Amino acid sequence: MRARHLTMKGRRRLTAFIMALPMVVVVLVFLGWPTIWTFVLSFTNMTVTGPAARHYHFIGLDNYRRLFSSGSGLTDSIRRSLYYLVVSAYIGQAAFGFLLAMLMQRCARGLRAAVGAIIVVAWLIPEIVIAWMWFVLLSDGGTAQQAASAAGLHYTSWLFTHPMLSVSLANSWRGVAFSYLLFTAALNDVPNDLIEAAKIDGAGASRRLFRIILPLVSTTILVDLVLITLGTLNDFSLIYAMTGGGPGNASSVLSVFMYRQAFVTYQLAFGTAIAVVMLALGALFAVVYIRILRRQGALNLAR
Amino acid sequence: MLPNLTLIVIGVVFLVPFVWLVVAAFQRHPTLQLGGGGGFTFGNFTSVVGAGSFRTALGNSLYLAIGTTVFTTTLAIIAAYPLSRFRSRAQQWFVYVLIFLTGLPIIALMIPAYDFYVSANLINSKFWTVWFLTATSLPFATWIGRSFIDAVPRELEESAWVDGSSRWGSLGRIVVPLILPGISVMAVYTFVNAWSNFFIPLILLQGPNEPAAVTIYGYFSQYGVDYGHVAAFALIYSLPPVLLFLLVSRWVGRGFMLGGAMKG
Repeated sequence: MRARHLTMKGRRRLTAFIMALPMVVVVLVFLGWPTIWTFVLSFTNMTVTGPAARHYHFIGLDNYRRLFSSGSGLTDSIRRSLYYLVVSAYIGQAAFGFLLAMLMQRCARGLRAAVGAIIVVAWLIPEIVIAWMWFVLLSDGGTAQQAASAAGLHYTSWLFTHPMLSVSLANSWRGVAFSYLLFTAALNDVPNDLIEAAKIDGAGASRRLFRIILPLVSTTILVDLVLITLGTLNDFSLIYAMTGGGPGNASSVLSVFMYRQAFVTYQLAFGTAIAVVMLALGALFAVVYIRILRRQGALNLAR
Repeated sequence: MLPNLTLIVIGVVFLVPFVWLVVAAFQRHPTLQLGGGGGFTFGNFTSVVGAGSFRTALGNSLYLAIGTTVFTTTLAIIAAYPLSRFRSRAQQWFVYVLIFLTGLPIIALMIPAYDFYVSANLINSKFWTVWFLTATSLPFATWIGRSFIDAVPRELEESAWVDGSSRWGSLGRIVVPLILPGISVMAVYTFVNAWSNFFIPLILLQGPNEPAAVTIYGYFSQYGVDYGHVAAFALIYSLPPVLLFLLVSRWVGRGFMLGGAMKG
């Protein structure tokens, strides 16, 4: 009986293993291997790829020494990434998305559906199209300049004068739908009786918000913040297409800094050292996310 | 009244970036400014649809998106099944790793990925780019796939096992039909991401293998571009994600779509 039980367990394990195997192999080959190689290459002096690149050799911590010395551009890039994170994700998407969700609750149904649709469409269309739309809007000779001169104002392309603000505006516009949708769903789950009871007890609007609504949706806010942090820190396409990281390095966030070092000036190994910094940051926030999900019980084993 | 007015203002401001694209797509000779542009026409759409280069780019996007969706959904469902049904310590760790991978900055892997593709002579191949895209979407798809399968009662499968069905059999005949709404969400999510992805094909594909995203990027720095064509092309390229979202959210309900998004 016991032996039979074991073989059954063994067979189940084998089935589980076989079923997970194809997915695991694909992930290991295309994500695992490059992750390991990112670390390995960051200790080399690799420049170009292809046959010539086989001549690279290990140079120890030189890339990191260079990266962490002043003037490498690392601290400026991190500062810009943080600006992008705070302005476009935390203010433009999360805070604005929350206000929008609250506002929508008090608006007419039809209007709510119409504005909701505009916001969601902005979220759905491809990044490169969004970059193009904002590029045309803000560039010299574009629509913003036309509107400014019609109003008698002087306009120099924000892509040159305020590149970080420009890309942050575009990213807020594009991404606010995600936070808005999450918060709308969470706010709908707040029991109405609770709000009414608080009203009767004489709690003002701000008291109701801070004492009842915010505590009830706090988990959603936390999940939203972690998810948009991961998405925004790793964002590359929108910024690179709109400004190319310029003018100069003025909008070169971490991802653009890495890309330019690797694929524009062909210092591939130095680029991987930057990638290691990005991976470390990503890992940090992923761990935070796992902890939140664990606290929520979302990771409990099913049955 | 005040909330409604505020929302109207927000809605109008949100429309602004769309205006040029939609107007220019229907003008004869649009410039970067509004107005002028020489009258209304559908000509931009007909010439874009007729032009070989645009058709190739859209075809490439479709190839990448469909290929990635087929591989991802298939592999993710099969891998999600044991994750939902068999309990072990290894499985718990597997879930952690999956979520961890969901947050992996893919852009940070592009240097060794490029090196790997050049060395293995896989560069500039749509087929192998599909596999990279598949790998990037598998962790999230597997993770939400598990929650879909969790919702299917085990008892439904047990009767099939009694009748001699294997795990594979009950997965295919009982579980998959029941989680079709979930699979459709997973498929749309994967399709839209692969269809829209810019930096992976930017690095792994060139020339005639470029998808629409990379083609449009080429117009940013190009002089003498026919803006009407670009606008019409960008509109056509933007349509599938919007239509697919509408279609699936009608079918499974918006709340359900969001449940999937939130778990990721």
